Amino acid sequence: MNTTSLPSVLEVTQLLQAWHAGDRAALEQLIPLVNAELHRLAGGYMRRQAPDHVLQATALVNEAWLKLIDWQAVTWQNRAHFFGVAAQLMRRILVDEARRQHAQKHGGNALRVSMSEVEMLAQRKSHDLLALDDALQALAEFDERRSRIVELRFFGGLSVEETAEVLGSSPRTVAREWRLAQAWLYRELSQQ
Amino acid sequence: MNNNRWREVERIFDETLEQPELDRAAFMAQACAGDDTLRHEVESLLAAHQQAGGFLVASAAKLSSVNYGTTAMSARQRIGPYQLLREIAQGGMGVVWLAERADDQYRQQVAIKLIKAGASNADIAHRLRHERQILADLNHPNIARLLDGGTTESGQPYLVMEYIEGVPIDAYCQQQQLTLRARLQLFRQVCAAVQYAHQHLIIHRDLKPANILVTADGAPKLLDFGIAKLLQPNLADSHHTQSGLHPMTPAYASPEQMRGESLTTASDVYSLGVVLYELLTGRSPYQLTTNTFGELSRAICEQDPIKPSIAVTQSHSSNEERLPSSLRTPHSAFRTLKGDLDSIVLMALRKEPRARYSSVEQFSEDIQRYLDGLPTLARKGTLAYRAVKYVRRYKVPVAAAALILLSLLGGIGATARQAQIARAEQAKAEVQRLRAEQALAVADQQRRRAEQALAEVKAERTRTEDALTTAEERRKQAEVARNEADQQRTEAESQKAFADEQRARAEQGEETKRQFLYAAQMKLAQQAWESSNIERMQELLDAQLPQPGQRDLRGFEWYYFWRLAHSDLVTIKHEGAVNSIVVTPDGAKMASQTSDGGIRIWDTATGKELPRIHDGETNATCLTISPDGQFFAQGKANGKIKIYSVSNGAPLATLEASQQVITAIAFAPDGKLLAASTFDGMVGVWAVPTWQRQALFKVSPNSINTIVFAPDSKQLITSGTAGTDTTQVWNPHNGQRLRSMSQIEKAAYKMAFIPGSNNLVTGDTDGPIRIWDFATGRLLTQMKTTWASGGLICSPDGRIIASGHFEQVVRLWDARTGALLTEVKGHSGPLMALAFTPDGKGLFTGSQDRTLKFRNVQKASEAREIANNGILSVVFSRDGHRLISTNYSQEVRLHDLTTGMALQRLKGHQQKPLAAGDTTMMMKVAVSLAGKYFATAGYDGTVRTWDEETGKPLQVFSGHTGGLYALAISPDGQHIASGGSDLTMKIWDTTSGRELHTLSGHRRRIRGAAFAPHEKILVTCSEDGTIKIWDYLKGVEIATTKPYTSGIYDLAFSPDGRWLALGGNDRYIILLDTTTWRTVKTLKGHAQIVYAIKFSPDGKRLASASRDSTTRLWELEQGQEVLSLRRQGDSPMMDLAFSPDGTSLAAVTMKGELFVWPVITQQEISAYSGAQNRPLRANQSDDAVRSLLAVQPLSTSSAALPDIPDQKIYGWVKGPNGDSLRDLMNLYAMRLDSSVSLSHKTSALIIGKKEETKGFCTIMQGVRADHFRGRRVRFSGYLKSLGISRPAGLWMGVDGEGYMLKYSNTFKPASIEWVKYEMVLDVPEDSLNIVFGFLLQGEGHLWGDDFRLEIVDADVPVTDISGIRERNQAEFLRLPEQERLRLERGYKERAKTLPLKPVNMDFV
Repeated sequence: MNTTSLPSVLEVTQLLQAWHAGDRAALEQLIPLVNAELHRLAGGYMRRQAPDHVLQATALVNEAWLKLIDWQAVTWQNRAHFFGVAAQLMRRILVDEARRQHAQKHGGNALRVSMSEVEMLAQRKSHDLLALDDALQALAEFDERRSRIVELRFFGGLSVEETAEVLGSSPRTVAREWRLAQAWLYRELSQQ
Repeated sequence: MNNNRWREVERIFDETLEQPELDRAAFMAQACAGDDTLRHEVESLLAAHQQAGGFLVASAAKLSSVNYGTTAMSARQRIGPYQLLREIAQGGMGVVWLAERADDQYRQQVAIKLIKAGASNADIAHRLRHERQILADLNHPNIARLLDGGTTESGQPYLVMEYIEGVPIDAYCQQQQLTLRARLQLFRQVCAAVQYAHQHLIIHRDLKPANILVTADGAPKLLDFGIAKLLQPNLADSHHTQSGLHPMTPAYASPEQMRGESLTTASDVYSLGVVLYELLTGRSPYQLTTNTFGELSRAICEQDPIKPSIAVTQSHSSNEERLPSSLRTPHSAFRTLKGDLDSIVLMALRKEPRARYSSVEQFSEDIQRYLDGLPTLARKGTLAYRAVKYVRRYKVPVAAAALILLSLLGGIGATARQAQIARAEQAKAEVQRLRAEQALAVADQQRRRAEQALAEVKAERTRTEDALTTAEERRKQAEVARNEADQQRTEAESQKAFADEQRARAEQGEETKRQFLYAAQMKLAQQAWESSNIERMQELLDAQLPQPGQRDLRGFEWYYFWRLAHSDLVTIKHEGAVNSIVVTPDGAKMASQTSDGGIRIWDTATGKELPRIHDGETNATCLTISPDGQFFAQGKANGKIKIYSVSNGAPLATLEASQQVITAIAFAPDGKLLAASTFDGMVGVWAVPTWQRQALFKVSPNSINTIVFAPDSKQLITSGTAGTDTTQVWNPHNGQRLRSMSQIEKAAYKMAFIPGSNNLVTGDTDGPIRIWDFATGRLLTQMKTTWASGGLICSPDGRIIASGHFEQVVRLWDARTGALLTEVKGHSGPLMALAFTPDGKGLFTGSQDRTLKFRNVQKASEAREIANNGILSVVFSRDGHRLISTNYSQEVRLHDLTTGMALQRLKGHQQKPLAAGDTTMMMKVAVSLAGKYFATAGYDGTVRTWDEETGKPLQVFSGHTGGLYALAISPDGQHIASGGSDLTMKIWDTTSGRELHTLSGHRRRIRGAAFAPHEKILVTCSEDGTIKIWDYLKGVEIATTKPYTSGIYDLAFSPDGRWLALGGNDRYIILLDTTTWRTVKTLKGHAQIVYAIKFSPDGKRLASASRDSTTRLWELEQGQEVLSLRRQGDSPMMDLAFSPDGTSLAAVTMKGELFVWPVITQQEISAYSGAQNRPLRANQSDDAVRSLLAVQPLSTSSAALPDIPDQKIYGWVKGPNGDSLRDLMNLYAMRLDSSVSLSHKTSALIIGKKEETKGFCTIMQGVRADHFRGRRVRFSGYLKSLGISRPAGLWMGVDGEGYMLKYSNTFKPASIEWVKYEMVLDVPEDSLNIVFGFLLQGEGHLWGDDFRLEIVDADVPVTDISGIRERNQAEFLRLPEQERLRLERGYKERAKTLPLKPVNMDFV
């Protein structure tokens, strides 16, 4: 394996820190690195797994994270903080993936599906995910905080408590704010 | 939304939700008072909140995937007291880690399975707690133990299991090269472990080699027992479709598992069966082509596994190293597995859980029995199983079946009651069966106990001699107990057998209902067809597709209807109603138009769509094409006409006629003028291709419906909704009126000239289509029909008129006689457009249903006419490719089934005037299935035999004193029976050529005779109403019976000899059981005399021909009529014949017509469903579907034939046939020691045998000439020779290294041009096949991409090669005359001694 082409752990970690410190360009650099890792992982899996094993994008994203980041080197405030950062990245990757799948429209090179994953196949959801992303952007325009809550909870998979922790707020407030964000998004998406 | 506004919304939203529910509405109304927008906003958000529920609550990751993020583990991490070491595997259920106990108490390696987080971790964790103990109790040396389990800190469930170091059983067997015996013994150990678990009420559910590891010391260890259940507790008891995890491996899953049904231990038996299958054969039980899940699932649920003994030989070479050493040669493998092992494995793999081994133990014991050389249960069970399988359970809901029956058959109460009784019986049988099974279980248990006691006693005896007496006593007791248990078991078994029988009977009741339902639905399908409701018909057909486990009830009628429903070769969907269709004069392109979708164009050869022409407007009303195929003229609703280039779609001109809708456009036949008519009565004429306007004149104040140029291009006819003079003739150049066709009273809606004549066809809104002599205005023919609103066109050959109608049909008329030829159905909306292909064989139709359909005109009809001149009787040749008919002239004809052409006329029988007392003349014909001959029985009283291949007369038998009406050939072909007016039957011996016996006894004319298929008896029937059964070898009568009240006209044995069917003047058909000769069934339905009856080759249907003008088909199990066929213009049906493969039914009418009703075959259905981009040419093949199949590789039965690349082979021929063959042989004998055959029916392929001395051979290969008739073609590539076979004979040209140029007996081609690797010639119109020869050297490739056969357009310049031709000819002529004669003589001589080896040919 050609290791020089892989992003170094340090590189990724530094970018993450830079991004965290407010350097938005760092995210733009991070995405291709993470994606490259994803593809590498995917290739490895495809060789090892039974031919009709389907890889789940998010599983890979998570795994990619774990492999890419030197946990020790990053001074995370706490676990929730890490996921706060990860949530944004996750959203980007998932939405990009959904957009790609949506464009392909279940093209000919779709992976074969084994029985256990039929229901889980993300493809079906690609459309919904794109719509959600759009709606989230619209929400962010007049209520960035709520958009962020949804991002943390939905894309980052954080609980109300964890979200509160990331935002430095109380769980009660987050729950209340989430309530309206959820209703607003629901209305937006169900009108489509 | 601005921020402040949103804050407001937010505030009221939150505050409202703080209120008690009842007060919220009031609170909000007050809070938003005076601001409706705000109120509406909050209101809708509150509503959304109410509905949102869990929206977005589950994270994206959880929704779309497995969440590794929160649960992924890494080495050195700890789970409970265990330290993870390394990842061992990833599977469907999760990740498996190798771990060891981290407390230093003791070191033990374990496997930790981290369960993938599914829908609910909590659920799994809960179940885990609950079931862990049960699993932990599984304590068996061959089962990996479950040690522990729990949830990680992050809530992920895990299981700790004994860590097994081993290899999967299949890999182990291969690595260790285990013998068959060792494999079976190892497998039995696996069985023992599974049985142990079953006794503890635990089913594995996911048995597969990967879960059966064998350790270094050779002990099998089963992993993951009960895990599947743990993860999916509802699998067994839920009827809901399971989503998410299905912990099973499809390749090893049982049918019930695939269907998600509840599982029993039988499912593990099945999986073990698959494992054993693989250990024995090295492959899986099903032959899969694509390996997709769907296919696998279908195979598991429906397909019978391939017998291991067969499977092992099929893939032997690739599998060899996986097989036991004793199975290393295909022969030994086959011999070893055949019989007991086949039966054992297949018994474990049966689809019905109940039909498998009742326990793993039984399975294992049967293997032991095999090892001990004892008879196995499986082998015994196979026969019984097959019988039971025959009456398999099926799933049509009883209620639905009953309902439909009820409405159809009227037997309301009876049917419902029957269903109820059947259900009750079934339930009762079920209870009894359960009871019996329980008793059986108890008996088994007692027996086991007794056996255990026995074993104990034995042990004791060896331990001490002292206890002998006591032990002996106990042994006796035990034996008594065992005997008792055995007795109980026997009793229980007989109870079970009884219950099973009752159950089978109940099931049979349902089967009967299904059959009734089937017959009823076929009748409905026929009604749907007659009312051209194709969708309904298709629904009814689809409803009869057998479900998994159901018996397939479909027969001839189903495939016949399917063909009718799909008489379109291609259907192309459009976005709107298809209002015009045009075809280029060379047939290469077809274009269609919808009003808003522009012009769509297809390449007809490939079926591919070309770029469409669309100007963005949505007002196209009509479309036509110039006679030279260069221009499209498109009429618009705004009075404009757009001209486009056909070749590149470029817009060339826009013409304007008025402001009103263009109603019709026409090009003059000479291509120099274009005319268009409008809704406001204008006609415009333009010059082509300058598009200068020549004239614009007002024809009428009202709309012009249709315009057409006369064949001379000098007159333009218009017709429209004016008062008196509706139809007028104009000079197109100046708009001067030439005359009025006042005899055409009604305004024509559509008009067309019949090509090649001066006859004008008109159709008006009142219906009739009329043909006029245009010059005189005389009415020639009138066809009564409905308004041809959807077009009126003539085929290019001028023979057929097609009219499209509002009622969704196209009618085809004979242009000379005005007779209705056929109705073409299939559209579900009114017809709008029609077009023929230039050869007149293909018809495009467009409809308001937004489809364009393409059909082969011939194939679209219900029946195909083969002949219509005095035919009396018909049979198919043995290969099914030809029909043999007899006629009033006492002549025999051979017809090619595909082309309908009469191939040969055989004379021999004398014509005789009708004798006094005879009302009809007859001449029967029969084909010998064994003897390669056919026989005819003439009105002249003689029987003649003929060579089936060549038609050569063989024998003549005379002796009868009256006309013959009955004829039959014995199954072995040795004897012929004939009889008729002289009231005697004569038996002829074809070996000696003499009469064997004369049988007398019938009192009136003998009408039919039949030999029994398996016994040496002959049955005859007569107008005296009796049948007589004869021992024809001894010449004695065995019995006479009179099952019919009046004259019997025909009789037939079913292929299995079980039934004798007869019919006649009583109008019904009866079936006799041939063991008792009693009537078992009566088939009623015909309204008049039944003249002929025939069984279908598979014995499932009976066809009958009657004077009532119908041919009917009956299914035989319930005796229901399933199809009634009629001929256009009713005529009594006289004779019938099924093709040997059952795919065609031929019939003869009293008018002397001979025609065939074909069906579609299963393969053709598959090809139809699978094909895309089908060519839009009817002449692609007579049967376009078949042409798709024709590219499939074909095999040959002769080993001596060389290997030929198969992608272009169209088929092997069957022959020989007549002079054409001999000519071919003459030519080739010179160079080859060849075996040659040729047939009219097939694409000819002629094979030459490898020549010994020179080491090369010439391969001749052919294609049907259909593509090329009347065309100039160019062949390029290394061709040795080229031939064209025609009805008149064969023309052959050979380049033969340049010394021989032409050879022909009857035909010299008008144009032929040769160079060595390229030749051009015109293919005659009546060509059958084009045959070309290739030189094949050694193992060389025959033809590759460098071979081409192409149609050359007349106006495309062809290399001038005439010089070369002359040179070649001169060279040949320069050969010494002696040499030329010697060559010719040489091959003529050798031709005589050539062996003719007909090779059986069939597509696919």
